[in-house]
Amino acid sequence: MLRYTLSRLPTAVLTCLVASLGIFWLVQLLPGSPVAMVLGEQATPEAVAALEAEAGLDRPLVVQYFDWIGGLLTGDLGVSYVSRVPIGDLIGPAVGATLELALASLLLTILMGFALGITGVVARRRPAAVAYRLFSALGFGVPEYVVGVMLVFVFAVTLRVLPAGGRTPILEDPGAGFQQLLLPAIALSVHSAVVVGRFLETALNQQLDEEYLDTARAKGASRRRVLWRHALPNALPSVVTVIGLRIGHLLGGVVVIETIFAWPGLGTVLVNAVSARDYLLVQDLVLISVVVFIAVQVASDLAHAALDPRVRLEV
Amino acid sequence: MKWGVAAGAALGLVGCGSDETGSQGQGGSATPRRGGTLTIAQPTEANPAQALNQNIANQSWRRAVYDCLVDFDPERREVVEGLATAWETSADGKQVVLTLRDGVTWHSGRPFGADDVEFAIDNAINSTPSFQLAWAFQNLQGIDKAGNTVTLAFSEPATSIYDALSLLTIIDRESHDAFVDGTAHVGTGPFVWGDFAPGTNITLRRNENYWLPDRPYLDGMEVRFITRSEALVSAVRSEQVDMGLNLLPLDRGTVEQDGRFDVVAYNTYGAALYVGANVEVEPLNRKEVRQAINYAIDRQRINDELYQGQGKVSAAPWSPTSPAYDEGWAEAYSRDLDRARSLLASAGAIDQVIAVEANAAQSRAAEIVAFNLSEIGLETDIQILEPAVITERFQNRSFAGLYLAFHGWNTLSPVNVVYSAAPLRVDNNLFRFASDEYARLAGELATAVEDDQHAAIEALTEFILDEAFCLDAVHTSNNVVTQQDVHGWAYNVWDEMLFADAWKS
Repeated sequence: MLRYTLSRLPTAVLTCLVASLGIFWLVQLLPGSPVAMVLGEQATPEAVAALEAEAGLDRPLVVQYFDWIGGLLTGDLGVSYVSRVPIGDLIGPAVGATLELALASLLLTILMGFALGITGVVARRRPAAVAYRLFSALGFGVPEYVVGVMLVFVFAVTLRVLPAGGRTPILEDPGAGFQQLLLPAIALSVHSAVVVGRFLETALNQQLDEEYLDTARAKGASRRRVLWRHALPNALPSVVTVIGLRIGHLLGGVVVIETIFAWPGLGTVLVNAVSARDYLLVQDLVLISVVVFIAVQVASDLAHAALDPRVRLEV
Repeated sequence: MKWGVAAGAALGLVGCGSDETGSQGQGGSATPRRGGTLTIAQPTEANPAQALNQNIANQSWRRAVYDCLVDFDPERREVVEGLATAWETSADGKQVVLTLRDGVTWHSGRPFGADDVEFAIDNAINSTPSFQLAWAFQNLQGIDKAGNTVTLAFSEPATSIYDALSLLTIIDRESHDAFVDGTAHVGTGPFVWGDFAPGTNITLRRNENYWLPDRPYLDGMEVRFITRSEALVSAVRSEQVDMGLNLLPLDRGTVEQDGRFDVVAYNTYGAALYVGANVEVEPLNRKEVRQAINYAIDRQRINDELYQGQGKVSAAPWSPTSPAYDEGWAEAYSRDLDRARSLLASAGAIDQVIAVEANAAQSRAAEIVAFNLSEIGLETDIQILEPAVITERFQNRSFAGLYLAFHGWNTLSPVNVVYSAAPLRVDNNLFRFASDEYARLAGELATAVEDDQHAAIEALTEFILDEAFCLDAVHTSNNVVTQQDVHGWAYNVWDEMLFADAWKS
């Protein structure tokens, strides 16, 4: 397992490095100057040039890149060009907010995904199967943005049983925090849950058609035992990989969901940073997202390898 | 809606959520109630580092923390008290004497006085970026201080100085550096700066030592940033917030039908959609083409489709609140396609494609203008610009053709508009229009004594309309929705919100 883990690291590090170059280059392509936004519409070109020099934006791009990467490696995220606040201070609270939302969504994705996948297998010709198909079709086809708006309209505006947005840290006030977390977490997880459910259903059906389960049935194993003790463990490895991929989707989805629910997380900070052309903040946030995504992929690969020894042997 | 409710008169302004006895809404008590936190949702993130100037990002909180020397009643356009309780301009217009209010202290506890006024004016003149009406002090010769009296001496008549005095943030000299960074705000206003969480909110708490007795009524305020309009409306409808600001016209329609809310459209018409033309770009360098474009633009359609008919169509850059407003000038470019085509014919051959630039919020207006131009045979290319690009275009005055945007200068005195408003100012305006005649007419207005002012405004307005390098299309109102238990808040002529008298029942 250690050999397998080590074999995954060089690729992950290389991917992060290439991503950092790509992010830096793409951000430079964005039109507009961050200091222009800081100084406002009335600023003279001379004032803009002076502030660009002060912020180091007049240096060669190669120097700026290595300065940025060097800072990141030593834990210095830099200072926001626009708000002039250390980026660490700016995104610290936002990381907590996004982490809270992402974890809640991941938990819901797994719970709903497993419930859907197993329902799809066991309720093939029952009304529950019809409900499952309908929910799957809607969950897959309706964008998260629309799901979010619909949830707000039904539960916050019409029934007024849950808040329409905002955030109270769940550790600070569990009651209020849970209420505010519920709708965005559901909105963010419905699509992923349906995808996980479909994969699980397919994987389970494949396992249930395997000959070793005919043997188990012939030996008198109950339907429940066949499903839970034999089919499900063997279906899990591929589903774990899908869940890993869906985490990437969740990280992308928070950008939209956070703005709908006024959730003060990284997505909100990123949207504001892009519109303000806060280059350094945008670079940091996107690279952090990439690193988190790659870390999750490595973790899901390791989980896959732990569940399926054949994967480890391929190395 | 009533102006000048009780002590609210001291702050100026159109009182909202107020009936004859200072309250409004069903179920509300007529007697203001002390306590509670007012929660406001606004669609723009606040920008505490830009609090020197009035802007939409800080419209909700700037005047809660800071006072100005005087204010303006938008309905009667009269100067009313602020930190100055009396003001007097000499007969020749070259001297302005201000009597400062006694018993005012900064949030830090330091007494407010004449030195603070001098510092605020010096800062307005010398700061970068500058105060938006800094030009108004260009002829300032000196400031004399005697007790609580401040005398401003000018070399030329300061005919419209009260616009500047009512916009100028009176800032604390001891915390000036933090003010510039936006990290701390020490004012004399009814609320004390609390926290600013980027992307989330601003919190303010009651100023226990406010100079107006028993004010403010509220214990505190929270301004939340909810950037999506539908989320903002949902927050109001689910009663999560007490007020929603800057509603889109369509959202206004949604909440207006719900009896649980009060919707207020400011009567200042303080936001004007304008169409500017870079006069150094072919074919916009030809006056006939600019005039033809303005005759082609369907202003009424823009008003009807984009603002649900709520705005007022006007070509002239003066809002109905402006002392210069005139119905005839507002209708100067009533749509006339025949006249537009005739003007184009006299302008000569046009081979160029005209760029129509706007930000995303004005994209629909840009489409309507582009369609109108196609009706008279002009080919256009719509370009939707990012905010940062627009800022650069502003700084370099480099718009590629036509540019559509909003300005909030239309409630200012005309002389302040032509010396300060970036789209229209005499020197270095956004559209590179320069003219000795324009400078002369502006100069005449700047020094005109009362009897000559109307003639000077008339000559200047006729000139601006004739040159057509930057004309307005529609003047619109700011829309605010509140729960019915919110009372006593107000706004001034610059659409800034005032909460000293606000209370919740």
